[in-house]
Amino acid sequence: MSTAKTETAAKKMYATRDFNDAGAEKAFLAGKVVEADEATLANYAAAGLVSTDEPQAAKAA
Amino acid sequence: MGLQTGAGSAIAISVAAPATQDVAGYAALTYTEAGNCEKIGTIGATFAKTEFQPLKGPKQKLKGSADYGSLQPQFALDESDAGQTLFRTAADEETNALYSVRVTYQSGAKRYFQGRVFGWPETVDGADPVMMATPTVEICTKVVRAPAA
Repeated sequence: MSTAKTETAAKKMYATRDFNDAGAEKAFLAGKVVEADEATLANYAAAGLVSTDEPQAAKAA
Repeated sequence: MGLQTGAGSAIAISVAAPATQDVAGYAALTYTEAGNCEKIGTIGATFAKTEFQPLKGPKQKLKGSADYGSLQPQFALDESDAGQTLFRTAADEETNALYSVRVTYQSGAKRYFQGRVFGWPETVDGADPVMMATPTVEICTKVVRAPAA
């Protein structure tokens, strides 16, 4: 049986939008670095909530 | 602990697969809890009943094929919630990828399984009710039970 994708890069991950993690009781802001363990980031990445793509504003700074 | 209610229960999902289909395998995973959950649903397998009525003697009843069942959790729709978003991703998945699910009871006991999410219907039910999402999670593996610590 196939399983869901679990790939995440060992790079900084940025929030693609504002989101909350109810279990961890944490909130993340769009464009900011998301600090979490790799497995948590894999879940966020699968949900499209984080990306390794650096936001434009951060690149310009 | 004796009786318990649903208060404090939670459902969480993970993209990762357990290395083994047991408590250790599932407990090693990291789950993302879905917030604003109102109901989780019914967890547990049922078996088809196979009957044979001989000409002499009582009807014989055998256990047939197992159906690990399904859940229909109900969430107040919150597009900023990571767990709900991951459930929606699982629903949008066009392959037969399995997701791991953990349900935690009030007592702390846990139920683990892998499943597929068949849809993420969102209900707008008039001016006052909160908008709800009611995915159907089909359970595809045996439910692994972990007692309260």
